[in-house]
Amino acid sequence: MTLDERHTAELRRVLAQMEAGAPLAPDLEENRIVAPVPGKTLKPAAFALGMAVVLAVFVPLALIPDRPPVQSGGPGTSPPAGPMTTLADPEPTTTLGPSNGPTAAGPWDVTETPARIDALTVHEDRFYAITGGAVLASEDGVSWTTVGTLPEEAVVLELVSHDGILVGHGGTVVDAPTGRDWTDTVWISTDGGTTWSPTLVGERVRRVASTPFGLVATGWVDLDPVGAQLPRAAALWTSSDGIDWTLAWRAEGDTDVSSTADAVVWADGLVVIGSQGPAPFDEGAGHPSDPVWERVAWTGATLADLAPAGSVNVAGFFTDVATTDLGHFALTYGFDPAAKDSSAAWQSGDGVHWTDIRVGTGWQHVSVAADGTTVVIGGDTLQPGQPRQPKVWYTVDGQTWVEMDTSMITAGLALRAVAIHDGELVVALDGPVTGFLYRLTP
Amino acid sequence: MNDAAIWAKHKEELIRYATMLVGPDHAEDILSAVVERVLRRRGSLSALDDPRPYLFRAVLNESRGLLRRRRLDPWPDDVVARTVEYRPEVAAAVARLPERQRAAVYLTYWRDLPVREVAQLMGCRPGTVKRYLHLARKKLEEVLDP
Repeated sequence: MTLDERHTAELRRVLAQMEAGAPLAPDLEENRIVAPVPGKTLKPAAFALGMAVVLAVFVPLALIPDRPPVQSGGPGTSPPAGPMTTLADPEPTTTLGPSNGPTAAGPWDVTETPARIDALTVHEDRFYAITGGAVLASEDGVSWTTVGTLPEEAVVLELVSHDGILVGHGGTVVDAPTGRDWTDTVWISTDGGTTWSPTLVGERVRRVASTPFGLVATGWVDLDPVGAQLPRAAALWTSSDGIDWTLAWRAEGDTDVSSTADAVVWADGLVVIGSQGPAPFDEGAGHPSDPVWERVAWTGATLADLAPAGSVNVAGFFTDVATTDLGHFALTYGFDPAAKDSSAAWQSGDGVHWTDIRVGTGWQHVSVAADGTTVVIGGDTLQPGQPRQPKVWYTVDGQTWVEMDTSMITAGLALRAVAIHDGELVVALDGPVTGFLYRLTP
Repeated sequence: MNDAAIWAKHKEELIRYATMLVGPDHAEDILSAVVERVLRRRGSLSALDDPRPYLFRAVLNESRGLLRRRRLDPWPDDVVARTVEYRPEVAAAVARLPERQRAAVYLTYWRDLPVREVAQLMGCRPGTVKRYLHLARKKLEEVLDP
C-alpha cells in the first residue's frame, strides 16, 4: 500500500505544520541543559541534571544493581558477554548470540540465559523472555538485552501482549510465617518490560489471553465449602487496560458439579474451553486432569451471554491454545504420562469441534505460536533412557506440516515455548540450570 | 568535537523529532531527559561512536517511556487546534498513531529519509519500518480521503 501523490502532499503539509510547533531547542552548557529562553525552567530541572552527573561520577558502580549476565555460544560454551544494557539506553545492544549459520538447517543462533526460561512472547515487534527474574528483549531473536527485572517477589510463567501492555501471568511468592507462600497474580508492564505492577491478585487464574473482548483471564472461583471439600465454578475476568479487572462471567455451580475455565478462543464470539467434573471436589480427591473430568465449552456472542455448549471432543488436558488466521489450535497432554503419544495437537474452526491433526508422533506438544498464517508447534521427545530431542513443526496453510531441522539443538534440553514474528522463530529451551534461546528461520 | 558542538549540530532535528512524538509541550523535557541519561551513562556525548542515531533512538525511547508512564495524550485537541490550521483532522490521525508508526511516518514522509536510514534512526530493521509504514498508511488513508 502506498499513498498517492495528492495524499503524500497533504500529509507532508500536515507534518510540516506539526513540526513547526516545535519549541526552541535547549542548549548544552557545561554538561547542563539550559533553556533557550532565560528564566524558563526545564523538567527535569537543571539542578537535578547537575546532581545526576555528579552522582554518576562519584557513586561507585557497585551500588548499581547487577543485572544477570547473559552468555552465548551454545550449550556447553560460555564466552563472556558484556554487561547488559537497558531499553532506556538506546545504544545498540550487546550482541549475545553469534551467528552459527547458515548451515544445512538454515541460519540459526543461540543465546544462553542465566537461568531457565519462564515465559516467551512477541510484544510490539520484539521477542520477550523471562529468565531468573530478568526481562530480556530482542528485535531479531539474536541480540538480547535485559530491559527490566521483575520485582523480587514476582514470578511470571506466561507472557501476553495486549494493546501496548505486556502482561505476565504467574504469582507472588512471599515469606509467610509458615514458609514461602504463593498467590496467583497477574503482573503488567506498560513501559516495555522495564517496570512491573501486580494486578488481579489472589484470583484462581489459569491463563490470560488478549482477545477482541479485551484481556481475558480464565480460571475458577471457589464455591462455598461442602464439608471439607471445595467445589469450583469456571470463571472469566476481563480488563481493557490490565489494571482494572472485573469478574465478567461465572458458570453455574452447585454441589454436584465443579468446573474450571481453561482457555478461550474467539471468532465471531467467544468460546470458553473448560473442564467439568464431579463435586464435591478438593485438591486431594481429584483434579481436572483426572479421567472422570470431561472437556466442555461455553459459547456466546459476548461475555454477557455465554451459555453451555456441551462436550468438547478433545482427549486430554489443554496445555496451550492459539487463535490464528488458520483457525484455532490446541495442544493437550494425556492422562497417562507414561503412554506413548500421550499428547496431541488439535485444530478447530469453531472452538467446540476439534480434529486431531497428528503433527508427528512420539513427542510431547508443548507450545503453539502463530504469526499470520504461519503456525508453529514445539515440543520434545520423552523416551525412557533417551535424552530429550526438541521438535518443531510448522504450517503455512493449516494443512501441510513441515518438521524443522533441529539437529543443531543440543539433545537433552526441554522445550519451554516457541514464538514467531516476521519470519523469525525463537525457541526457548531449558537445560539443567540455564536456558537457551535459539533463533531459527522456518 | 566537544559535547556542546555535538549537541548544537543535532539539537534542532531532535527537538522537531521529539515534538512529533510527544507534542510541543513535552519536547523540551524529552531532550533534557535524553541528555541527562547520556551523560549519566556515558559521561560525555563525545563518548558515542555515532551520536546521531544514538540520540534519535534515545528520543524515541524516552518519548515512548514518558507517554506510557504519564499516560499523556501527545497531541490533545487544543494543541492540534493551535498548531495546525490545514486539515487538523489529519494531524489528529497522525497523533493517534502508535509512537513508532508516527516516527516512521515523520522520518519517511517529511524528512524524506530512505527506509534503511529510518531503520537506523529507530533502532530496528528495515522490514519493521515497512511494516510500521504499512500500518500507518492504512489508518491515514481513511482520513486523507475527503
